[in-house]
Amino acid sequence: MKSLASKKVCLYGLLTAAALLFGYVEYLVPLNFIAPGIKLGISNGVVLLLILNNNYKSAFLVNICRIVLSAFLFATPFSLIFSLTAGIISTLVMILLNRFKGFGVVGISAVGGAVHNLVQIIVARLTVGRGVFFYMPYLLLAGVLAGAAVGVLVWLMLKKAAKIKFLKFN
Amino acid sequence: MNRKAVTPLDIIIIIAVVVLSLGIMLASLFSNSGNKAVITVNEQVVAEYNLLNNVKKEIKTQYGVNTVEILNGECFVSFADCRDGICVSRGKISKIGESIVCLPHKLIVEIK
Repeated sequence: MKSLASKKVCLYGLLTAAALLFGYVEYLVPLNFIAPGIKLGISNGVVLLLILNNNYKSAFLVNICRIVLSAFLFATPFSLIFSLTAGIISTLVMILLNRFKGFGVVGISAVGGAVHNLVQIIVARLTVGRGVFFYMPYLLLAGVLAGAAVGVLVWLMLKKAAKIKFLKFN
Repeated sequence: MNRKAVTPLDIIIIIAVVVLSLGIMLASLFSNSGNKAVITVNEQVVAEYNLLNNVKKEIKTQYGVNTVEILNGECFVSFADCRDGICVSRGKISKIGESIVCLPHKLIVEIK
């Protein structure tokens, strides 16, 4: 039992670190010229990986740790309310979609990306004002495409990682 | 894990979202040129300028400083003391409904 618990601590720590690192790489490559706040969201792939393994609690845990840590490292506390609400709700939606057989990895990820950006627009509306809705189509488009791209990455990784022992979660 | 990479349902959803967002973008391309720029901070209107006049105005609030300029009928933010400067890189706006948003300063410039 004890070794199982330490294995979990180790694995989730590793995944949080990986998600943080992906977030940092994205921070270095800004895509802001398209619309404010546009990112590829590779760190979301880590969360997706856990969801696909039906590991919902740890998906939340890793995502919230990543968001809080990266807010203090790279962003402002003000952006924390954006990333936290968007992160939690998009994780919830992806978990919901994972319960249905009709969706593929790419579809779950794409919807997750679109919902993430939609939530950010709604939070911006509540904190700043109506003018933010102008960005909605740009953020929706970016969210669904980036989400799909991350879905492809995760699927490719899962195919390769089937052989790697430590990624077998349960 | 036995989930497929892509299913028909995935493709339908992705195409639907892409078409919807491209449609909204296209519709906003055809909107008319506006005639005034309205600046709001925290949802309160702080200034309104006619786009026909050239303006250079520093908007100072408790959140920070943004310099809003109007030049030849186009409005843009030329300076901001926030850390990311997204409002500055947003460029020029002139059509009805277009806006420049500075989230950290809660400032919105909207064309009406």
